[in-house]
Amino acid sequence: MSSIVARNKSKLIYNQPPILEAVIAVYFSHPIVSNDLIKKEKRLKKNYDLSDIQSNVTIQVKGDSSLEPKFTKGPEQKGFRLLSTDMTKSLQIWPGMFLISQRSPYVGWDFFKERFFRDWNIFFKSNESKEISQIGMRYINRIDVPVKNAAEVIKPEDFLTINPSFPNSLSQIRNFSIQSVVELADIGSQLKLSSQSVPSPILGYSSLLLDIDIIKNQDLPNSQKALNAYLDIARVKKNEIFEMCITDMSRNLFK
Amino acid sequence: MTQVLIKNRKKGIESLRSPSHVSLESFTRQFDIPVSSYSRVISEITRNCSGTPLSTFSSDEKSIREKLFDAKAIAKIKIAEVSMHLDTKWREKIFRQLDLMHDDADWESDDVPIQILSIVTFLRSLGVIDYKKYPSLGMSNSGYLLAAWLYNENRLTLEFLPIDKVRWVLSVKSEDSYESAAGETQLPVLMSRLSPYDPGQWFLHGNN
Amino acid sequence: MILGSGFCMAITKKNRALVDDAHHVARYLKPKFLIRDALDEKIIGVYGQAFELRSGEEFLSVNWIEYFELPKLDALKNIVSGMKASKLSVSSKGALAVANIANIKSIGKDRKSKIRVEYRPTQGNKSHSGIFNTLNEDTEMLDLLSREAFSELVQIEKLVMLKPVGF
Repeated sequence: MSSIVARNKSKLIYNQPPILEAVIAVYFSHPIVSNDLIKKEKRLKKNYDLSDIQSNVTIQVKGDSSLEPKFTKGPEQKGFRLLSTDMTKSLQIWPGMFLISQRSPYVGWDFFKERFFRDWNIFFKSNESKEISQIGMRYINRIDVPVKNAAEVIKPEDFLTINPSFPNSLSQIRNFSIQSVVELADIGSQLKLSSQSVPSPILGYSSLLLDIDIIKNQDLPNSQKALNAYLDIARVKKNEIFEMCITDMSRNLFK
Repeated sequence: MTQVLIKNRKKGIESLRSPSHVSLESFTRQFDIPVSSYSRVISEITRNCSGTPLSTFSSDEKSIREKLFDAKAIAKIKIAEVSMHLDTKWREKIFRQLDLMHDDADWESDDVPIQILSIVTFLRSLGVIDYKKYPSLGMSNSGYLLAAWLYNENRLTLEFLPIDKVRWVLSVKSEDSYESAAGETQLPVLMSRLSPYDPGQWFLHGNN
Repeated sequence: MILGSGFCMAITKKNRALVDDAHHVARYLKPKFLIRDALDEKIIGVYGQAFELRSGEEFLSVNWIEYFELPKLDALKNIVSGMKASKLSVSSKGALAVANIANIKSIGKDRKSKIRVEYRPTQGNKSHSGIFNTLNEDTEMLDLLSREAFSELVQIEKLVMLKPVGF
């Protein structure tokens, strides 16, 4: 698909976007101390209906053929998860990470970004500095294709442009999963792109997943303005990639 | 304005994990955050924890409320996965009714909250039943979702059991008496089982 | 002994005695068993599942209305008070469903089960009674109980919680 067509397509707005989850995550090099994290959670709580503590425990297993395996518990990390009552909006804060998520139904980029900066500006006071090591933007899409009966098999190539390619003698594909890493030199990022077949949550449908994950870990933004600009650029790129990866048959499903 | 320091790229930090099979996991998995972060509430916040206290409830109340919270949270997240197939009004109605059926005012310790496998069957029924009219939702003692439609004096009730099973019972008025029928059916053939009773009267015209 | 209905009858209140067919019982229904209108406000029906026996239950718990020998509304208020006195939780969003015992037994007869209603008082819940021989596996029986027997519904939040009369 030409870039001109892609740009035109990226302006499309769908009535029923197939977005399952949208995530923006910012990673820090140096962890935030626990007491500071608790204070930040207190300030952020007013924007959400529910809040709870999360724990992350690492367990290392060492073993060799002659000895019993040894289990060593690593340091426990505590973070906070803040949620809306309907569970669609969440914020996770950890010593090393700030992650905002929107589950389906997707509210649109403007609202999603607004919530990101609303919480980001509470998380960081104006005089506070934080070294960022990585920014990520991930959109997981699920395309639900109606089928006439349980025996009907859809052709992924009818709906996605990222598809497995098999020799003719191996044509009875039951499931597939493809993952690729692509350099996005124009925005100084990398793309982790995945497509796969998944069980459909609705009877009478077959489903395909398209997972677009844009990651930046170099030339990172040094101001909020630059961060805002990068997120907008990444979102435009994400939309272009989405349009490149779907066919018109897919578009007809979520217009 | 937040000051953000640029970090020089350190050697040895992996920017992306090596390709592996992708499953439907939250983005947080990539960053070593528990994949279950959306599905569980830590049920026991130790009294010694210096973190923000969640509540001032006694441990008994806390466990019932957490049990209800967990069950509703899991159900709402599951329902959100198909929200592109539900209009906003109906999604809000389902959530409102989920809250109503988990009223902790009369919740007893051996009451069973909504079972996720029942929700799964209900959501799968979106591909079988044309829900032009939204049902009233309830819950059985086993935690299975119930749906009821009334059309004039005719009534249909569905109970969504695990693994695509649906228990149904209906009553239709004929002249001066009622005819009733009941069955337990697999979801794919539900509509054919109901067809002798004109199910459109409930799904398309039901006055619930 | 004159009841609110104008009838005059002697009421036997002996533990495990059968309750008269002409009398009525009320069953507390949790919000999850109630069918509501489109706005989720008005109650317009009851699920048959409200009459399923839970694991270990020998009978369906109900309350005998005529036990109190009071007008129905006052009796219902006393029933709620009695439930609370026996540490049973009652939600304002729940309801009491009222049925005539003869109707209940008639449904049992149609479904080939000898339903009976026994007076089974407990400490604090003096009007407590039990419906025996309902059949969990008979979905149509439960549906009939919900539609034809227990068709009169009184929302708890509409029962004015004044001091119960004679309790």
